[in-house]
Amino acid sequence: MRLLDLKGRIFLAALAVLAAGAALLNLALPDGAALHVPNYAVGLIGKYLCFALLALSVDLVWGFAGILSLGHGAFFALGGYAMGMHLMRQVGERGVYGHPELPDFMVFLDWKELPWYWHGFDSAWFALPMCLAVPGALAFLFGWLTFRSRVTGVYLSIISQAMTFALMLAFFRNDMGFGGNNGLTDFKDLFGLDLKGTGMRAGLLLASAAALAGGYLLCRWMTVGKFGRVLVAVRDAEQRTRFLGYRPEHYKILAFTVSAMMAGVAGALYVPQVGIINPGEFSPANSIEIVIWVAVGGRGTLVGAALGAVLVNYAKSFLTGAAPEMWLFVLGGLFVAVTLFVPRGILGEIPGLWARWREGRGGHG
Amino acid sequence: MVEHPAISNAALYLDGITVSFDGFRALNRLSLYLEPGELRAVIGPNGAGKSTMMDVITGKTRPDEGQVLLHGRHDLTRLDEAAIAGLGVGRKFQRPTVFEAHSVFENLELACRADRRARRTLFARLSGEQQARIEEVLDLIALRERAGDRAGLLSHGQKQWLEIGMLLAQDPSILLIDEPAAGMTDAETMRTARLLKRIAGGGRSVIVVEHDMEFVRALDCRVTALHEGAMLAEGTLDAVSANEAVIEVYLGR
Repeated sequence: MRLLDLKGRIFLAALAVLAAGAALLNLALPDGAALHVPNYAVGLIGKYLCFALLALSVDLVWGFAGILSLGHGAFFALGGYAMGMHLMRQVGERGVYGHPELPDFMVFLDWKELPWYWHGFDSAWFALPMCLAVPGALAFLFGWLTFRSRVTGVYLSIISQAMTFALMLAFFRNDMGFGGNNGLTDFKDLFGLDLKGTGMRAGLLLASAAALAGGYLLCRWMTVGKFGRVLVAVRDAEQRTRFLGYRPEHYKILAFTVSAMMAGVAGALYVPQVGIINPGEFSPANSIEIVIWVAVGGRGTLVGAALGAVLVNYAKSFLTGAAPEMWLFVLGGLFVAVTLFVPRGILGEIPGLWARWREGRGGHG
Repeated sequence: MVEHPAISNAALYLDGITVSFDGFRALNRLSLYLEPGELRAVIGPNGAGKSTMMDVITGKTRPDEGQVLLHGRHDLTRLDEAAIAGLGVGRKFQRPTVFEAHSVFENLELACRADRRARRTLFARLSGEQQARIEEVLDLIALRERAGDRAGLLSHGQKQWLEIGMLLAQDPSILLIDEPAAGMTDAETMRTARLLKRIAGGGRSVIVVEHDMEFVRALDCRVTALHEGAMLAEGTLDAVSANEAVIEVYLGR
């Protein structure tokens, strides 16, 4: 199979047009012009693209390796916290308390010096790699402990859920040193540029689009070749692959770690665009929502996962504005409806519909 | 350890294997000696320990006692499934387990001899040699026409053959085959027997577990009869069938 099939080319082209178009119409046209894309819309699109990348990362492990992770929000949040720590250090003396080194919440807690794990995050050269390394390391450790012990199926899902729940409780604690339930916020700038500036928003949107395109190509590359065929074989008949001489746990650990790093990148790009990261991102409900995006778009289709993330989040943005108390019911109903009526998701059903349509036409002609 | 020369020459040597599940002895000090290139049929009633024996050889089950020597060198009871498969022990299951989402060709590709490590597989490309091997196997199992079809679409008998084909692509020195004729038509059964006879030999040993006596007769090989986890009789099919203990187990009581 080719790295870029028709579906993939359409996806990348649409992504490029969307991101470049929105950025251009935001920057080039004055406020109030008919086609001007307002700042909040640029931020919203950027946020959707981060969710799309997160959905891709879940599709890689769920759609191909059969690992139903209900804790991927944790990797997203860890990437977000790593970025948030960098942004906090960039605040410097401009905090409310004006402390040259300590973030506001530490001054408030009467801490005298920076905890050891905050060191280094003032430098982007350290902080940005950490956005990948921290989620990657946790995923590797998690995979090492579970996949090697042959924990699969629903047990694995529950453990992954417990992991993100435990992290949420830990990050809620003030003495963890990550801002407790307020999390990290009041960011000022990134790379010396004002976070609320017009160019910054468009830049972050373009960076998110580039990350999504890169993530897509990476997932594609990992799944079109023999590695991907082994992953699918593990998904469908794990024990059989062992008797062929494969070690499924190694394949799973590799895919899971790469996936977690992608989720970390998504989180790192998300945080400067929404301006806050707090322990709520670790909540199990968030992780379950990601799985629903993928199920809606089509598990194992990659493009479908990204599409599902954008569609569901668009619906969420709309509904939480129009009827906020309805959202969770709609989300639950959506999941039930997709499972019952479109089990392969939107993109998963298209090949079958296409074949039926052609068959129908062939029958009449 | 003083080793009998015959033991180090054996393709496979099971020595006093005992496996207990919650006090039930699935295998009871079972010993078995398989020569290089030998085709062997293992028969026995349900619960005789045939599948457990396969599980022990392939590393799925660790025995409580005894050892399994491959080519007189490797003690398989210390290795895991992947390592044992890497040493050239292939296994076919009773219920055909092929990768249904993959094409027939891709199933054979996954079975084909190659570096199995995850990072190497990421960069793997099909070599000309592997391609040729797959084509050869496709002819042998008569599935060339179906090479591009999803394995899930094959008939039951064709899946059995594909799985045997996957074993061949793996190019193992020992094949363990569990009830290959189950669910096959008479014609398919005879064809499978011929295929297995062709596979054995040339340094490749085959153990076939089977219920169907017609099929075992067609294999025309040495037969081991198991009962309650231990060997009951061994020899030609006629000799084993005439054995009083075997008659007792199969017909008596």
